[in-house]
Formats: sequence, C-alpha cells, structure tokens
Amino acid sequence: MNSKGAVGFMILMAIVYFIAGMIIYQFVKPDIATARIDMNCTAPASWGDMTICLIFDGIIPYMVIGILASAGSIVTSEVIK
Amino acid sequence: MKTKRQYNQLRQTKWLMVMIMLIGFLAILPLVSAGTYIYQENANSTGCNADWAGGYECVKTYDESWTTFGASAGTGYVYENYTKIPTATYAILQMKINASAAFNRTIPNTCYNYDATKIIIRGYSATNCGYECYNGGWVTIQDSGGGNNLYEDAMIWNMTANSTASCNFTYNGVNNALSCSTYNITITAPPSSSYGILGATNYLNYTDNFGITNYSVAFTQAIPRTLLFYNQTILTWNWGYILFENSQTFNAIVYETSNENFNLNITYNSSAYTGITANLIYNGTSYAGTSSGTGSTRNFSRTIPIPSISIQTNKSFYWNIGLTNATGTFYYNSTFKNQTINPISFELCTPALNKTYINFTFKDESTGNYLNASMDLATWTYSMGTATKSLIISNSSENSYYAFCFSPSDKTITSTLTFQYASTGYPQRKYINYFTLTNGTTNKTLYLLSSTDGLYVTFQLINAADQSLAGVNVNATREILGTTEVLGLGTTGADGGITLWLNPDYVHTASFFLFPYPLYQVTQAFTQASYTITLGSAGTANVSDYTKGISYSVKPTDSWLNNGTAYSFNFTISSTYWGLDSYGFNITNENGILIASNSDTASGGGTINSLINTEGNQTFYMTYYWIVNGTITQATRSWQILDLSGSSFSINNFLTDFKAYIATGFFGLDNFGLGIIIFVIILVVTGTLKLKHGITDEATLIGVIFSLVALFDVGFSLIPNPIGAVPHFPTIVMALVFMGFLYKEVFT
Repeated sequence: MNSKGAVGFMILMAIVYFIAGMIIYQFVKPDIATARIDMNCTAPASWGDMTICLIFDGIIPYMVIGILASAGSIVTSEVIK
Repeated sequence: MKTKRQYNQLRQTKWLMVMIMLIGFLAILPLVSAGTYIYQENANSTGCNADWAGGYECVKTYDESWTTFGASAGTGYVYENYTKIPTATYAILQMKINASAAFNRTIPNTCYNYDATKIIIRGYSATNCGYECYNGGWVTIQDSGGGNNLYEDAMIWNMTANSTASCNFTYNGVNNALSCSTYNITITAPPSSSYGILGATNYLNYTDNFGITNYSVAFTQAIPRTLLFYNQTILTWNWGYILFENSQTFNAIVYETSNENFNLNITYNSSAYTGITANLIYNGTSYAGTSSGTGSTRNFSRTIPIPSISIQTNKSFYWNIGLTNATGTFYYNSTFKNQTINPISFELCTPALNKTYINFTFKDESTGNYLNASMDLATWTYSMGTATKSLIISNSSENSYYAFCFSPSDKTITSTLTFQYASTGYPQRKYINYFTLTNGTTNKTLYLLSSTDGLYVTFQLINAADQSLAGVNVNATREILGTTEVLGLGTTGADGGITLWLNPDYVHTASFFLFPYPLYQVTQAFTQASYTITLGSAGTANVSDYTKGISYSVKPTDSWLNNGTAYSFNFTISSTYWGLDSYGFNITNENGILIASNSDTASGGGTINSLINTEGNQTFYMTYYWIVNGTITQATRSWQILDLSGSSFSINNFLTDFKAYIATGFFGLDNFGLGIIIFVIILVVTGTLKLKHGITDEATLIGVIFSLVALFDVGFSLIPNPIGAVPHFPTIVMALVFMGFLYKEVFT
C-alpha cells in the first residue's frame, strides 16, 4: 500500500476507533450515575467525598478526550510520516 | 506365623464383631423405620359444658398453658376434635392431669379408626379427671384416680414418609422447582433471575413429603413470611425478593404543556444490590429520576413537561429500574400506567370558550377616548409549564376590544405576546410583553396616536467611534394616568436607525440598550424628526469619581444559565467613601423587556436579591447602578441562557460541582486560592512547553498563555474578575498582549 492509501486506511481506522470508543463509554454512564447518587454528590458530607465526586464527574470527559486524542493520533502519526 | 490357637482366636474375634454389629443394626432398625412425629398443640375444635368452677373455667384446659387448669364442682366436660393428618398411622395423646408431669397415652385403634377424618376426645373433671376417646361410646384413655384438675392436652401424630416432597415457586404464573427434604420444607433460593417481581402477587407452593396437597403462600410485599404446616411453624422465610413496586403517584388527567410530577416508591433488596436507578419512560423519552430515601425503600421522582397534542390523548408510561451489583446492572420495568392528556385552548373568546383571561382595548393617546382598532398581527406563545404552544391571529376589521379566552378555565398560563395594532387615521404600533394570566381577567389598554398628533422620530444609534449600531433594543415610554405605558419599541436595523411614532407634546423616556453598553435613557419631549444617540459616551455618568470606595459583586457568577431554572440574582455593594442615595439593578431580556428590578436606599450599601426564572428567555442583561449625589453610575452584566439538558456527564457538570464545592470551602479554597492554583497551572504548562519541547518563540508562548487564560476564564469561569472591570478582563488583557507580540513578530 502506498503512503496515500496508508493515510486513508488510518483515517478509516481512526473513525472505527472513535465509533467504538463512543459506544463503549456509554456502558460506564449508568455506573457513574449510580456512584453519584450513592455518594450524594449534590451535598457531599466531607472534602474526601467532594474529591471522589469530582473524580466521578471527570471520568466520562476523560474517556471522551482520550478517545478523541487516540483517534487523532492514529491519523496524525501516519500523516506526519 | 500364627499358631493354630492364635488363628482360632482371631476367627472368633471376627465373628464376635460381626454379631455385635448385627445386633446393633437390629437394635437401631426400629428407630430407623420409626415414623416422624408431628406435634399438634391445639385441637381443631373444642366445646365445653357449663359445669365448671369459677376461676377454673373450661377454657383453661385448652389455653396452651400447661400451668393453668380447669376444674368442676360437678362434672365438667371439654370436647375436642383433632382432624386426622392423612398418612398418619396412629396418634398419641399427651396430657397433664393434677400436678403430674405431662405423659403420653396411645389413642386406641378403635377410637383412631372410628371416624375417617377426626379423633374425638373428651376431657372430664368430676371427682376424678382424665381423658376419653369415642369409638361409638366413650372409652377411657386415662383416669387420675383422684383429683380433678385438668391441665392440658396435645396430640402427637406418627407419620411415615411415603413420598418425596415437592416444592415449586410460582411467580407471574411460571413454575420453578425447588428442592425439599423431610417434612420440614427446606426452601432453597430460586434462581436469581426469577426474583424480578413488580406489582404482582407471587406464590410459594409446596407439598410436604407425605403427599399433602399444596400449600400456597402469597408474597405481595417485601416482608418475612412464616410457612406453617398444620399450625406449626416450619420456618420463617425472608422472601428473596429483588424489588417490589409499592406505589406510583401521578396525575391521571393532565393538560398539555403543563409540568407534571411522577413518583415511584419501591422496595429493593439493598443487601444484594448496591446501586439503584430509575428512569421514567414517557412518550419514548427517558427521564432520569431523582432518588430520595435511604435503605431498601426508595422514592424516585421526576417532573417533566407534558407534550403538546391536538386531541385528547392517552399516554402510557413506566419506570425502568436498574439494580447494580458486582455482576452487573439488571433492568426491570414497573407496571405500565396510563395518563390522559387533555388539550388546552387559547383563542379569541367564543360562546364555547368564554372565560376571558385578557382583554385588550384601545385608546387615543392624546384624548384618552376609546377607539376601535384592527389586530394586524398577534403572536402568542403560551404555556402551563415548560412546553409552549403558539397562536398567530389577525383581524383586519376594527373592533373596540379583543378578548382572549383559555380552557381549562381554572389554570394559570404564562405567555408572550407581540401585538401589532392600528386604526384608521392612527399609524400602527407594536406591543410586546410577558403575561401571567388567570381567569381573573387582565384588562390591558393599548394606545394609538392620531396621524395629526404624532411625529415620526428617528433615533440613530452610534458608538463612540461614530459607527452605526444595529440590534439596539429601543423603547419609548410615557406616563399616562399614572401608569408608565410603552408607546413604541423595536430594534435598530443594519443602519443603526429606528423610527417611532411619538407625540412631540409630551415627555417620553427613551431607553436604548445593547450589550456591552450600559443602558442609556433620555427623558424629554421628542420634537425633532431625528436624534443621534451615542452609546458608551462619557455623558451618561462620571464613573471615575463615584467609584471611589465602592466595591460590589454580582451573582450568579456563571457566564451562562440554564433555561427554565430559577436563579438568585444578587447585587452586593459596599461604599466606604460616598453615602449612597440608592442602588439597585434592572434585568432585561434580549428584547429589552424588563424582567425584574430591585433597589434599596441604605447609604453604606447592602445586598439586594431577586429570584428569577430564566423561563424561555435567551439572554439576561443586568444593569446595576448606584446613585451618589443624584449622579447615576451603572454597568451591565449579561448571561446567556442555554438549554443544557443532557449535559449531566459533561465537563460542564464537573465544573458546576467544582464551583459549588469551592463555594462551601472545598479544602479551605476561596476565590483567591483558586486563582493562585490556576496561575500555577498556567505557569507549569507554559514552562513545560518551553523546556520539554523547546518552544522559545515569545509570541507562541504568549499565545499558549492567552489560550489557557481564555479557557479558565471564559470557558470555565474560574478566574475571579477584578472589581469594577469589564467581564472577562483577564482574557481581554492577555488578548491585547498576544496581539502586541504578534504585531512585533510580523512587522518588526
């Protein structure tokens, strides 16, 4: 496969990777919601609880950013070559 | 090598052991083959004659107490029937008479076999006491031989197992086999998948190993149940439930556009499941329920907007409940419920729709005389809750009034109206306002100005750089009969101009507002055809003088707000130098319509607060001011109003919680501490880029700093703004610095 084909193939892979990531992270959402309820994140009792609630809040954005970064790196690594 | 004698001794020892084992086996054989006994304390039916002594009544002979006794001064009889247990082989009567210990007597076969279904027993107390059984005549089982204190009796049934016990567990009509052993029914846990029970009556059916017919115990609630076998407790079984739907609360009949609350109360097995969620599924949309309560009983509630409909509609809804344990999350549906949605109607009044909510009349602005006017275009947006409906209507004929009616007539609606009206000889005017309407009729008079009395006044809006300002919200008001009436309003066009039809003989107050300029007001009689208004000019206030010693804050601190949400708008001011004449704020929306205003007159300042719902507005502008020595100093703050439903897993949610925790003193952080942390983050990121990646270009590094400042300030609203500065002051300063470095890079 020449370089043009490799770039196109990597773009397709990045799209597949992105779609898979978007599907997978949906399974985490109910657990996050449950954890928030159980930790009573609307009114945490202690600073430790607040910290844990913030970690819960950051999990989904972290996953989404990671998926985006990974998909983007697949494309750029091939383009930069 | 053994001798013959040793061999014989060994052989004898072996036979001796075999004999001992055989005898032992034969000895225990009766025990092995002996039946199992069932103890029955109470007879199935009892009866007494009247001849019992006071204090030693007949009832004491069957009160289950082996310490109380009955006695008769004459001859007292207590009759007892014991219903025979099928497959019992014989029965033993346990009794206590006089002060003896309880002892047993076997029921004679003639009495046992006399009746196919029962054993008839009679206790007596006369000179002696004892028990008899009936086989066609009374047969003595036991006599005391003296003393007449009859204590108690019970029946012991000898049972022989002759079949295999069977148990099955039935729910929702589906049978599941259980394992049982002996006559004590042992309930082993059914498969966990069979525990999903909602709103149904569930049965445990079992037979004992004597072939006795099914027992059935109903489980409708999550409470322990006792399984009985011939009135004897076999075991108390805690029902291995997953969850029970205790109740659903909702309004069966609702109206479109209203906000309705739905409640679900459930009990779930909180030992087996650590997490529970419930989503209301209504009209194909899932709404997350808010949980309350602790322990195994939870209440979920959710308020949702009822969708708009055209005819009466039945909607089916249910709750989808998710239970989470170590193996995963399992979903169950509640019972389906139906809700009837009735349509609402807002129209010009008719004989059928006759409850007037608002009535418009028209007057000549100059003479005060009533007029007939045409309704060139009326655009209503109305709602009982969050969802809205629209009414667009016009009437070219001139009428003295336009009355609008609403059905159902006992409800309150919120509405927005844009009303364009005119009359012959009277140029068209436009009226815009919000209303909260009820069946207590609102009467509104709209004013028209004759073509002979008015003047077209054009306002040209420009900024300090003489540039035309488009999109400036303009309204002109005048006090008529003690009420401030809006006589003209609109928005400047691309040319920065707007023309209003005003009476030059009267003083009007013209207000001009465009973010980020402060509200500009001019109060005078407009006698000329055109006026040029410069927004942002120094003539509106001498800011620099009257800010000395002034500190203030405005809340909410967020740059944007959620729609349909009530917020507390707060203006706090403190003056250490000037004595304030008054201070306050006005809140207008994107159309320039005044939403709320508040003021106070404390000379040292204070806090004023208004709780305002963003409803369907798109932007709120707060113009806050203070007046010192008759001079007003004002500034403006704005909020974008966004619909952010569905953002509960976003970075926005993280920031919302973070700012809420900061406000409560998260690890002792305050705004200053937060600012220091953000500064350190920016410093570290920029330094890392320089040292690690070799970025040395100054413009690039300043660009990175600018981007981070913009992210923390505009994006996250975490950087505190200096007092008295324009909103997002740090971002603006860094932008200027960045542009300066760019200019230096490009042109030098």
